[in-house]
Amino acid sequence: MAARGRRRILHAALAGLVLWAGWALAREVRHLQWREARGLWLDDRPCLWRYGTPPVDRLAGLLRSLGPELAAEGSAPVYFSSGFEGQEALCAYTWAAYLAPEATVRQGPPDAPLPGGALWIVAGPQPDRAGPVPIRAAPHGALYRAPAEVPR
Amino acid sequence: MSAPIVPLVAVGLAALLSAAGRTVVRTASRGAVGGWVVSFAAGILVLDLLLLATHWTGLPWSRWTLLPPLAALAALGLRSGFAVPLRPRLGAGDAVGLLALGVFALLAATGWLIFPDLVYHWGIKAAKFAAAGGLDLAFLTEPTPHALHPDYPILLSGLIATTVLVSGGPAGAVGPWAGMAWGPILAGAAWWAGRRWLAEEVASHATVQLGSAGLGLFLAFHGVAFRRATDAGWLLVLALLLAAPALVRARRAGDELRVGVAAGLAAAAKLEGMALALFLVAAWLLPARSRSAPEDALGGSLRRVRLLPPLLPAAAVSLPWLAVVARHDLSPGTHWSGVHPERLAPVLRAMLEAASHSLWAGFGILTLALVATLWLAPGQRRLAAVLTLQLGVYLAAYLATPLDPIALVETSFARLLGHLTPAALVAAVVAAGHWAAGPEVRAREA
Repeated sequence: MAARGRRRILHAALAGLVLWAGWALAREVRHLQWREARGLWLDDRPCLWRYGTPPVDRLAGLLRSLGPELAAEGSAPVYFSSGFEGQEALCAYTWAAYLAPEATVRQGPPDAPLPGGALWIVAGPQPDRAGPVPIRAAPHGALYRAPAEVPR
Repeated sequence: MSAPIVPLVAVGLAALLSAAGRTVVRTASRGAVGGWVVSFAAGILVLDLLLLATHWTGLPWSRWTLLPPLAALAALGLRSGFAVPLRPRLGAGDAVGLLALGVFALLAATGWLIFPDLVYHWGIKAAKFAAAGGLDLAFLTEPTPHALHPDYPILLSGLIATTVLVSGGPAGAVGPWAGMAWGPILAGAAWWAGRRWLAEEVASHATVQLGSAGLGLFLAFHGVAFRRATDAGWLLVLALLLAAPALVRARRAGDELRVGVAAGLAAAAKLEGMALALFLVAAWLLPARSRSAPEDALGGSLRRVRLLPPLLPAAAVSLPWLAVVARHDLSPGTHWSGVHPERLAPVLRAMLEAASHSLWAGFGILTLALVATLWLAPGQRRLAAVLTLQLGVYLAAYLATPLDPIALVETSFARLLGHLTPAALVAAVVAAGHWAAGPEVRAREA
């Protein structure tokens, strides 16, 4: 085959690749727009949250409003619960640690005892639980402090 | 500082790293510089070494400890000018590639692509490091979930943390913006490395333009489809595109340094990048196809095998980090649970299914086909060996993981395969370009 023929074959194949990759990119962009238009960045799936969506904005607002209390804790662990369970609770906790990196945020199990005197951030619905003392209600959450441990 | 300005800080930091890296490259190769992407990659390695050195010496990470050494190196590099060795003849294909990367950058900058690994892995570590002014060992040694990978190399998190520190804003507010800036920067550098490779090896302008458009579109597709506003995988893509030209052509002055910088970048990026670094250096040490042995920049024969210089950057960035991992017991124990040969058939089946999933638009299967095809082209076999061995590393990881291997394949393999696609794609275009040029041109080039 002459060089010109080989070049034509190559250019046709590459043009096909360009169209293929262009179609794939356009399909992905359209998919994102479709999800956005239908509000499919689900509030109840923290593992599917993305930056700039309402659930993340709400969490960021809560943590921002608790900034003075978190700063006053220094490096002492601050516990975080979200009302989610399993992997989704883990993702919500990670978002909280990501958005408040100056604090030592740890995942707070909703029913387990908290260390004495520890701060506890609860995002979303407030728990019906005896023990921790509410310190402050904030938009989309509240801050509690566990009772101090009684020395034995 | 206003958060949306932060991506511009990242671009400025990238320029500073390029200038600093140029000094290192010129000093190491005594003149054979080899393009700004090589300098950029070398500058990234300098930053990584700086971050590790400040950790080991007890200095904090701050703009006052990180910027002066980089600025001093950059000033030395710029003193003798910053000439571009290859004057690019841009065309319509380049415009298409750049437009696609622009779409990716826009989507990243508007927050569309800023999950999942950016938050759960690289981003959270970067935010904690920036807030702590260094490696936050209290965070890394917490009984954190395995998804956070405390033992992964710190380069990407370090790049993001440095951007946060230079911008001066609170890490919680600035971190996401700094994070989403680096994906498009690294993808752009990878595109330029691939485009330059095409322009150097293929005589036909139309072929170069079509290849450039295809590469840019694929990189943008990968970034959008896998929501990779930032990911250390971009560093592997860049490392492969930097090293691959040296593996598929007759040796040239500066190629040894190119392979060394690429191997260093891979080793500093990810754990599997350390394996890739070894493969790149080993492939470079295999005999070249060239019959002549030109002189390198150091005056030595390029046919002579020299193990240490190309391995040096990878060793310099990975050994100090591995020492941190060992000293603080950062390995989460999620990498190895012994050999499970009974998994081989189901894992291979799952890998094929993941590669051919309709979500990935057929590029997974294309990549496997390209890697297999590269073995048929004599000049491409060293690169084919590197890509095949890297696939072998992924397979071994799936066979040995204590996690559910099938779930791990389903959630990771197509993305990992995408790290190999750009180098395989450009190598195939280069090989096809040589084939199309005909035997007389090939003979002349040889």
